Amino acid sequence: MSLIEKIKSLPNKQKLYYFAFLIGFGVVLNLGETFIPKPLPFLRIGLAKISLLIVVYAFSFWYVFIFPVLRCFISNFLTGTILTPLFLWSLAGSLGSAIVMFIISHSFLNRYFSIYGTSIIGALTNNIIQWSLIVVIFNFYYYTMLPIILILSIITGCLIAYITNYISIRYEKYM
Amino acid sequence: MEKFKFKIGDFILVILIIGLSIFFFLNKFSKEKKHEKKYLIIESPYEKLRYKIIPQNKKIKIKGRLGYSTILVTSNYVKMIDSPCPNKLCIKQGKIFKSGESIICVPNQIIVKIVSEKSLSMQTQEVDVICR
Repeated sequence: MSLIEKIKSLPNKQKLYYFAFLIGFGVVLNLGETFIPKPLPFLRIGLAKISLLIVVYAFSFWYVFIFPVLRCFISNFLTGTILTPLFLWSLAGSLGSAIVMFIISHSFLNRYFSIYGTSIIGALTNNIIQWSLIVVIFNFYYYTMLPIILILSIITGCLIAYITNYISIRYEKYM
Repeated sequence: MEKFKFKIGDFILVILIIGLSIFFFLNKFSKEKKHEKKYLIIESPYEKLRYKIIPQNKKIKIKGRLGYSTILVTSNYVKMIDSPCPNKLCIKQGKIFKSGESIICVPNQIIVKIVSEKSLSMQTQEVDVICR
């Protein structure tokens, strides 16, 4: 059994510890990502999606819903950017992608999409929500970015899924 | 350790997204040339000409500050042929094709530009004064 399935089979009280750990993990990844240079604004390698993937597969709906809210609040609070556009964009994108990934992983679609599929769709919804927010609020038709956004979401989605799979298989002994 | 299996939805998803991105990419570049009407504007301190839908193979003589300049207008490009300026930089600028491009003769104070239909209404409101 992989790490994800082991977490899923725990009783609720012990699950909560892992939930808190995953939030902390997500915050640290979000902070560490500021070291990676971003040529395009608002489009980053979503390293925090590693913890989001684990939560989506192992927890029930309210955990999945609360996770991005807490992670965005804490990480933006630590960098002092609450109530800036970055925080709102990040929150909207993470929430949307978490809900979509939950729907895919816990419904009949689980037979057709592996972890790579959910991760790619999560990255896609994240980027598209952020892109549409920029277009709507700044009224700045950003259509040239669309092909770049789509291809980047495939690449980052695959990367995150690969890392999550590796962690899930290799570190299950340490649980 | 169990082996990881890709499922069919992954491949369909990737192919769909790549197809979508190619579609957007091609759509972006073909929009400019065919669908939009182009207007040609030639300005000088003495007269302002505006042509709708670039005519074919016409030579236009326009009077500038130093003399007459000739502009060649074809269905594909616009080019400045002759001009009484000393450096002939406007002739060396070559041909212009797309909206937004322009040829400017500074000593003769002539501006030749191709604008799209969309920015034309914006242009007539904010025409810059030519510096003297």
